[in-house]
Amino acid sequence: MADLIQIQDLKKNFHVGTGRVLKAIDGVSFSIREGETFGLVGESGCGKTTTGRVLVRLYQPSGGKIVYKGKDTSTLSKDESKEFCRDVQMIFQDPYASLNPRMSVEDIVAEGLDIHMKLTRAARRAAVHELLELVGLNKEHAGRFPHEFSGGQRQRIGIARALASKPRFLICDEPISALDVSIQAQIVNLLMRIQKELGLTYLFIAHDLSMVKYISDRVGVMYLGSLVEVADSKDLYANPMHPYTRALLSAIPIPDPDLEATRQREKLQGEIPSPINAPPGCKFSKRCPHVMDVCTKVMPEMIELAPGHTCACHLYTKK
Amino acid sequence: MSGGIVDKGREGGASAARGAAAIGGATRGRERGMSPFRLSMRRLARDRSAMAAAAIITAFIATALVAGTGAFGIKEAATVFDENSLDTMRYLPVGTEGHVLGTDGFGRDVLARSIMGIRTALYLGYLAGLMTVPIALLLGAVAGWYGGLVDDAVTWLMSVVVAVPGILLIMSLIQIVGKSFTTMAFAFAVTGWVGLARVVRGAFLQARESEYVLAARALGAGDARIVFRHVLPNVFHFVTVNFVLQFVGVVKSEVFLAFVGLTLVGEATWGSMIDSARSEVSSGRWQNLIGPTLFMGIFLMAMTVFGDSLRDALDPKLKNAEEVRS
Repeated sequence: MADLIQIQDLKKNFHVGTGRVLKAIDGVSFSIREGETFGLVGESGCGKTTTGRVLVRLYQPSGGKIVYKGKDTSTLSKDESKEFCRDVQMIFQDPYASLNPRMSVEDIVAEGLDIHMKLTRAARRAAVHELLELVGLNKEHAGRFPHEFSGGQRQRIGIARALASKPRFLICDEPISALDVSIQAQIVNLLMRIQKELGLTYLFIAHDLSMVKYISDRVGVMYLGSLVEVADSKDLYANPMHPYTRALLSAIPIPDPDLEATRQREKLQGEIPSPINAPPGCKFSKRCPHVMDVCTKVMPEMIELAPGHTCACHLYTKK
Repeated sequence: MSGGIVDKGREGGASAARGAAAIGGATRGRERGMSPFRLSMRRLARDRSAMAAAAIITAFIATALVAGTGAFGIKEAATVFDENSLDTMRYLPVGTEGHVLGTDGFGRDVLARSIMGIRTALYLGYLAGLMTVPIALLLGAVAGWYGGLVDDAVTWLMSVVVAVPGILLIMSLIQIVGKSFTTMAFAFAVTGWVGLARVVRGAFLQARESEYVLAARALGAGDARIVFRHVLPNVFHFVTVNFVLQFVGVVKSEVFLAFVGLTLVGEATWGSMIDSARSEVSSGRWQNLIGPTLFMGIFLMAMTVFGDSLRDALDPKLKNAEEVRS
């Protein structure tokens, strides 16, 4: 299928006082095909959320290109910008912070409608009711306020808000990590059902690997602002190549105490280094169990090791 | 705090019922929810001391309004002044028939003047608030919203205003611009905006990065929509509370200014009355001290109690924080 969005060598720097630069995203490239779910995983602070926010144009990229439906998003006209806003929407991480406490659910959900189309009161109300029912709430909820809902219900409201402008591409920024485990599955299933019904494309950002495996078609692994491995979901979990991916996967607990006790875990040493003054060469070199001389000097490039499976690691570079 | 416990119990019960309704779907849910503002008003209505204070304040306002129309001859009794008389010893003691709080040296009724003093206090406090709020909102919002150099400049300005003793600034401003209630109110505004502006700045800084503002931005909302729909409503309660509490400060400052001679001669203000009492008390004439002190004491207490309760009612987070601490 055709690529819906292509990200090419995307960079985002934040200036943090006196000339220091935090490279939140440092040359990330990937593409997402129409109708698929692309999972983006990595530990806290690796730039997942920033990537999502750059993609919805909440942040201006410092370098690189985002090509959406064949058009570079930095050169969109005003009308095209508006269309992009309608097309690309976001679901946020914290359902307690992402809803304005002083607005009723109806006003929250209708915000996208208010901005992009002028509807009559009745049409607006009908649209809100329809959206609420789509996400598993009912129309009685429209007149209430966020504090009257549970975390899972709030996240449903957030999803309804994002769907109001009839988007094609939804960026889910850790939409389940702030929820109870019992609610997480509900929300993920809701997202999958909506994807099927509306034919959406997802970028699913998460740090919960088992959930990403469940929902994603392809997965990208990020470390300190760079992608280290991209593969089909099944392939990645069956055959991880990058040492960081392997370490991540081996950190997933196995629900069998005997297996869990005997298996070999690939443990990581040390802490994630600061993205300010990141080390030269491979960013993972300081914690990598297979570190070589070249790793601390040259940044490895993304190489396609198997069809659809790319990895940036010197272990696989031909000498 | 028993009210708070009852309140929580009820809310817990209500949310449990709502949960059941949402899952069952069959139970009829409420059509309109309770907005945070309505919840605050309900909390305030349940606060007995706040309601008592509100009643006192309402009574003061009503009295001032009625007296201003000239009804019951209050205005007349407060300003009667015989230009041709050089007699400034027409004191009548407290408890004289027809003059419950006595009269001052010009034969003006102290009770009537104290009542007219409410008008001055209300007018000054209101005017000062009306001038403070726009200054504070504008500067705080601009600083918090734009950040960077603009923020630095406004923060610097705040530090400067805070560093200069407010009362000195007020005194010099009044000396320069001239004595009038408007000038006085303006002077209070110029010195009093910093507190509110700081809070507003903080709220804007916080809101700018909050997820619901990001969500609105992602939906394509412009700056105006974000500021007016998402940020300002979350600042509103600070403004209200600040407005009420500033009243207290302004009324107190008015007395102090009168004491150092910055008052409007001939106007019935609590400050000028207490100022004249300064020389009279030594000769055993208490009426000019008793009247305004009584009125001012009750008024300021009511205002303070109401302001504090209002803050608690509008900002439950703050109240909870205090409960945890104590």
